[in-house]
Amino acid sequence: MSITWNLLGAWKSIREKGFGAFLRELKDEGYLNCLADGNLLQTKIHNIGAKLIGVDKFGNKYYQNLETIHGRHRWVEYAEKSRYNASQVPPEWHGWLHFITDHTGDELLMLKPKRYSIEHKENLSGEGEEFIYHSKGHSLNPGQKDWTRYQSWQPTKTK
Amino acid sequence: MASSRVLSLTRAHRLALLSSRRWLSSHPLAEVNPCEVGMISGIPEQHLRRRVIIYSPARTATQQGSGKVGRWKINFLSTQKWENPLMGWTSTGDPYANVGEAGLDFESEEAAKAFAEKHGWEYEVKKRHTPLLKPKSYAGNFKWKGPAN
Amino acid sequence: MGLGLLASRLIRPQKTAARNLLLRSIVTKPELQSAEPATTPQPDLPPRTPLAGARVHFPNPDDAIEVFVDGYPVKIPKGMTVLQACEVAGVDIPRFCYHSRLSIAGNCRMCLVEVEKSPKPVASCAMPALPGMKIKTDTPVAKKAREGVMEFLLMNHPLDCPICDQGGECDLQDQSMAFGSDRGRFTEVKRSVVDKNLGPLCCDMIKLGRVLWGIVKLLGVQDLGMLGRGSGEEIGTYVEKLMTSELSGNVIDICPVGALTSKPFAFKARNWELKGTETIDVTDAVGSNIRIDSRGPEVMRITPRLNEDINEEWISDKTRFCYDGLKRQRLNDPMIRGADGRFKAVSWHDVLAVVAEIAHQVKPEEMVGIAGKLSDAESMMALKDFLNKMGSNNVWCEGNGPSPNADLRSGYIMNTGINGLENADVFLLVGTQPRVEAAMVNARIRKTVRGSNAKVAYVGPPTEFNYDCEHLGTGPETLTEIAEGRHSFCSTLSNAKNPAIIVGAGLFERSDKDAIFSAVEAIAKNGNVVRPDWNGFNVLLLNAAQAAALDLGLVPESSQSIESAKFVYLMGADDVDLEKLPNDAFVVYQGHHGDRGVYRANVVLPASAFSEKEGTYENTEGCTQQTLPAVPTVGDARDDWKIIRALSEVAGVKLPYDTVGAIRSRIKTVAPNLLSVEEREPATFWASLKPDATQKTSSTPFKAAIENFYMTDSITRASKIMAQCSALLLKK
Repeated sequence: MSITWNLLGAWKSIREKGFGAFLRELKDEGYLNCLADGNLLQTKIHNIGAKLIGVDKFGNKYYQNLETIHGRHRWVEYAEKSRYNASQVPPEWHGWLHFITDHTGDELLMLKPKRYSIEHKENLSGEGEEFIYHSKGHSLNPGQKDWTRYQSWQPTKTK
Repeated sequence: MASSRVLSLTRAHRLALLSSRRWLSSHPLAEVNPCEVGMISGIPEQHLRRRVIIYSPARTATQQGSGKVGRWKINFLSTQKWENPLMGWTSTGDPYANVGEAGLDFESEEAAKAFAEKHGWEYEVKKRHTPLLKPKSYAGNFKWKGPAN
Repeated sequence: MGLGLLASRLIRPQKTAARNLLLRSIVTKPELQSAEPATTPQPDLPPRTPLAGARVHFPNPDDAIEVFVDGYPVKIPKGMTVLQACEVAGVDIPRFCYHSRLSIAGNCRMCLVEVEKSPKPVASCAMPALPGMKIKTDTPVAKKAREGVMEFLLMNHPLDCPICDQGGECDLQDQSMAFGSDRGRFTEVKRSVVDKNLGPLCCDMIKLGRVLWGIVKLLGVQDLGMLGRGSGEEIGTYVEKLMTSELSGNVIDICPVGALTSKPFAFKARNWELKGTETIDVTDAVGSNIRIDSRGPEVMRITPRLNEDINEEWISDKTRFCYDGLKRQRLNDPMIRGADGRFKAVSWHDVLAVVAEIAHQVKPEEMVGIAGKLSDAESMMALKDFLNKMGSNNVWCEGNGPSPNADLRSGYIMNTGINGLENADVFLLVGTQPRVEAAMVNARIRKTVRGSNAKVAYVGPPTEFNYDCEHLGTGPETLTEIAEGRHSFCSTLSNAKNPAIIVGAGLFERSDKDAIFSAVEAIAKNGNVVRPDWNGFNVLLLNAAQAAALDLGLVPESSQSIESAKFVYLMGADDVDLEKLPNDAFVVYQGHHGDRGVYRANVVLPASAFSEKEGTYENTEGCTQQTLPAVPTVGDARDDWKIIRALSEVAGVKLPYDTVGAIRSRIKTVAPNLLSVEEREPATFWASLKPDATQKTSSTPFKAAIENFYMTDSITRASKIMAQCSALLLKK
């Protein structure tokens, strides 16, 4: 039943936006990636009939389907379709996604402290040399720190 | 080095055998000759010829309690330290760098000396300074000390 | 006994005889086995020794009385307080306002104990002990009384222990662990005060009587006062007048809580991160005993350490706060000045080769070696041996003047001893300002003046003293008047029982030095200052190296040697007048700071500072003491004597020692007193200093030997804190 409903939805959007726009949307939504990425395809299939609980500021979509097996009833579809990983989930949604809390990320966002909280950043390990953290004293750290705890005399004056 | 260690081992054995007759009176393993503990303990040789200072830490001037006063410590004169250029932590090349202050604590000067002798360290003992208690009284605050000149 | 132990003793059940019998079968110690079975219950009395190994001073042996502390009999001199009696019995009484070196304030009430037949607990610090008194220190009454006092004290105490600088070394913290209640009943609002500006050295927060007491008693400067009453009370300097005293840093130690803390140390480190090294101070000739607290390779602070004979438990501000100078302006690489007048860092190998080559090019009598004011005996010995082997005898220590008297030891040390000054009743200060030259000696004089009403008079430029002091004159002519008996002061001097004359070492630099010293000697003879039982003739030296240099015989062959010098070896000497030096002279500067000496140098050899080496120093009273290394040296620097030893080998005149022990046995052949460490070696005999001097005294008045208390050597001149202090001093 849900498949027909889905197909109906697809037919409706082709009629409204035209075929080209429909294809572009297919691509943006990652349906093309599904051909190579089974994991994504599985998520897409899983999404059918599930309830969209919320979308965070990065565009990750959080679904819940209470009909499925308990423990697999909450999941995320990442906004990033090709290089996605778990660190892209911001902290406010982490708790909901991992069954720590029943409050959704949007609800928790209202409790977020204004003064000292910093923006969530995904883990960029392995994404390139520029994303690697170098210790303060490392020569590749742009603000390389000199840990010498004394100041040496500089011979400035001449005879 | 290796041969000398074997030698000292055999000597320790012979000592143990010799003194086994006196087992009842005193424990043979408790008998230690100077430097022997160091020789068989596997401590590198250069650390068995160290100079150390035996001293009794003075009372912290900022505090009044005297609980820690009167103990004896060994100062290893360890200054092989540097700032680790990567992390800024303190690195050291001396295995005894953190031993003297925190690890060694003796009841008496003799105990500290015996320990140093056991390890073959050349030691120097610093004199312990003790306070001098003189009578004083609250009434002294208000005593007339003669005409002010 | 620690407070924790004391507290645990209160809870611990007493051992009974039955329990001992049970234990006996498993105890293996032979001495316990052989002991008689404990049939009669003995009171549990561990052998008691006075706290911290204290010695008890009996002014009059007949006046001893006996009191009982927790049932244990102790003999104490009459007049001691109950608290002192407990200390003699080895019981540590908790206290806040009481400080063993200050007079008794008696306002914190923490030291309450129970005394038999007394209806109420007694404040032991203010109560004199009476014969036969039965003092109980760990009864429920005493404990409950202390708990109550503790609750009151904590009432207005801020709850900032995690960020308080005193955290970890706070008496209040420790004692509240032992006596504090586990819950509070205080529901009102805590009082808070604003940080006050007490100058660059201390910051303050709350009230406590002892601090105030300490400042007034110790410093003699009435800068701090108590404002308001009751809970409105707080410490303030009157109109926030800055604390300008050379001993102000000691209030940090006196304060039992974090009310007054060290500003340079504030929020820098925690005391459990620090490693303490017990060493001595070299910024003046007193040789105060200090503890250098270091974290890793960095000196974090300097605190005093007990030595009854020298600094008691105080140190001067210069000693306490000069340590940031050890981290600035350091020489860390050997350097050679190139043809363009710029220094270039080179290796030790190259620099020693250059110095040795040039040393061989000049004539032996054109070589000069000058030891600096911070030099230790080992390196001065090496310098003298090196120059002697090269054929020169022109080696001296700065501050000792052109023709020092090194023959008679009594002529350049403090014969009375710093501790002995307390027995004097008349002081005559000649050309010296102890307050800036040796603050700890000044504190002793002040203590004597306050304690026994001693009289002080001085000859020299008009200065400020923190005790009553009579100004006799400004120059040598006053001295001549006193020597010839024409001055009114003569009668005071001759009536005195133990007169003490203190001559400043600043006079060493004067050309009429011999005449002045013979005048002083005449005064000493007339006033009966030197007797078999009392030697009141004292010279107050200025620098840490002076006494040892004279002991080792570092005396120039001729006073004009610097004018003809071609090769000058400055071993940390920064205050030598190099104006007269020929322009083509080759100057080697060996030292730890880029100070005055470096600007004329051709070659710079980096050496280690006093906190980084083992060195022997002799203080102004002739007491030999040694420094111990607390932190590593910076960069490529080496110990002074090692550099000279290496240079001697490169130059082909190898010195016959290569360990500290070997160089000390070499010193033993020259000045054996430099090896009896921590012993004061008095001058053996007193003889007339000189045959009657032929020279006349000039009429030039005496000058101040030290213009700026806070900046006297290369370490203090590099220090930022000292610069701030001296800026304040100038502004005044």
